[in-house]
Amino acid sequence: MKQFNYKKILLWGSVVFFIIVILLLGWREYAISQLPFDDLRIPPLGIEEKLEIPPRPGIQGIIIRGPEIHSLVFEIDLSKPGVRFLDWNALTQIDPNTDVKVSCRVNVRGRLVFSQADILMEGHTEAGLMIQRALRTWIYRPYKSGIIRFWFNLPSKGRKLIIDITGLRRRGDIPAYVPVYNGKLYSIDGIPVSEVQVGKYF
Amino acid sequence: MAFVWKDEKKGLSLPGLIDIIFLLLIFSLVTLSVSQTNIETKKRGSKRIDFDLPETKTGETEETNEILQTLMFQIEDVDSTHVRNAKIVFVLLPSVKNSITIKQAKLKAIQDSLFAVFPENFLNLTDREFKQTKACRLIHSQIKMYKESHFFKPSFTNSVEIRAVKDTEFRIVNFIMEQCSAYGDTIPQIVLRTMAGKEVVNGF
Amino acid sequence: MAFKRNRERKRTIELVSFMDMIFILLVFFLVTSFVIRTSYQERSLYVPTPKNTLGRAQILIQLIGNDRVFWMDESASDLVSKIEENYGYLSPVHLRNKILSELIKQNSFSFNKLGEKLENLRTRAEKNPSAKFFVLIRSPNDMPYFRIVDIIAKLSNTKYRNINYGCVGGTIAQIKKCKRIYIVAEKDSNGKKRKNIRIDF
Repeated sequence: MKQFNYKKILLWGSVVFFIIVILLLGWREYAISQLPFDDLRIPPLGIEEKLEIPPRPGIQGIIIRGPEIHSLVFEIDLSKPGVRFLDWNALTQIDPNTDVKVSCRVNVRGRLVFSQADILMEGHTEAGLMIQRALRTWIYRPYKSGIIRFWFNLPSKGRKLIIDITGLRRRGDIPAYVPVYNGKLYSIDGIPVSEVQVGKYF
Repeated sequence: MAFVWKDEKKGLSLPGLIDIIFLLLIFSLVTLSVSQTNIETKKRGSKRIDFDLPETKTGETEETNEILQTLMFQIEDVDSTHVRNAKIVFVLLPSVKNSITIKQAKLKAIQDSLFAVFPENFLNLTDREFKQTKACRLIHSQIKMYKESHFFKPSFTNSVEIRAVKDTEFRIVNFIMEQCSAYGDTIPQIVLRTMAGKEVVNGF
Repeated sequence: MAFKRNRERKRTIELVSFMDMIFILLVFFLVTSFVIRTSYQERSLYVPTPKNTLGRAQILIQLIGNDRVFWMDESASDLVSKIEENYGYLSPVHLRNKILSELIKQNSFSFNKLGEKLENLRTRAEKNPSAKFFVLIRSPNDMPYFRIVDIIAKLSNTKYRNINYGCVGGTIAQIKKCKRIYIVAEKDSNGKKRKNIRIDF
């Protein structure tokens, strides 16, 4: 009777598993490389807690070096002191059925510009005002401009905040070979990441 | 034969009338825009122009806000007639409801004796002597108190403002920055108030 | 009967219209040459506070008196490197003095030229959105602070907001008496080795 050689099975099994993992990773990298850069998003997990303090000069000594190269990420510019957070818990308490749509324009300086006519907040005035006050202070990094739409849809599950970025276009003067990624597009304190959807939804 | 001169009818000279109306229009436009400048200046208080902040052409487009938002140090000349002059620092504290203006805060600072004069020879003092001056001790204590009551954790929104006449020596501004930096990232920046023209129109 | 031909009317200048024209032109030039500021507005410049650590910068600007500045950027690393190679036999103090005297000699200029260099820096930053610059301004205590504000104003608000700045107190004498100035080899974000200049105070 043939005896099972467990060691051999284990060895071959792990080799096959390893090869499958390598193939999957390789396919994933290939798929990502084929995506247009503007569709690549840096997931906001981990950015929630990041506190961006502007660079401060050191006095013990100094190193003079060439310019630092960094990726261009279109996101809220938290280094701008005027940016205010929207308190999600307070919004939920004021109006748990908030259904507010705001259509804004991101200008070339990264500021959100919108007028009263761009806000649909029928029956949710207080929540709408609270959202407006925060949105007016949001400033993005000046890498894209165009139309960005926010839908605060609190009664829904998994889609409490929908951000439509299909109207955004990268700045024409950024060289084509420089990728512009999408980062954290909202400045909201207390919203679970799973409740935010980004893309074309309305 | 006698020829009779016909009297020419003197009617309204239209081109001349148009010229005069045009002139009056330009005149009133120019004087209107200039007088609006004066009205706006007077509304905000002429002290703003007298204060002589450094000018900058930066494009920071914050709305001018008279309401005091955070701790501010206002540094002025004790006597503007002297060339190199002693400086006086006023500590302006915002109200709880953020409803006090800079002017009101200054009056309150005078009432509460939250001001001090830098000695005239402060540039010649050593670092230790400078830190021991009344003005520096006032700045140190006020930043400490304000930080303990308002800035609980590091945040980029925590800042201290400086509103100083433009010839204020850098030593004073540097001292305030160093006092803020003693708290690490809790007070990561200061705000310098400057004057900027809202709109500059230059024909040539 | 011979009729005298009507004399041709003398062509006279219509004085009234002529004066109107002159007046209009005068007013036009007055208005267009007059600098109109509708109102002054107070604005805020955010300046980071210093840290008691080793700092990193792309440009160092040391203000010297009211009319000169010392400018140091990555291009100075070649000179420092060359002096280190050729004068390596000198004591550390003498080597430091040699390096700094050459640097100060070659990289000191007037405030006017500083304006040009800052403009070039802005242009460079606006052509390279991925590049981040930090400019450190060192100023002596007696300098009126509006000089620093002028420099900061030229650096702030670039198209991609990729120039940051900071200012600290310091004099050229302190740089001349620094502990050490030397080349350090570091890897940049691309993994390439670069020669950076380090100054220890």
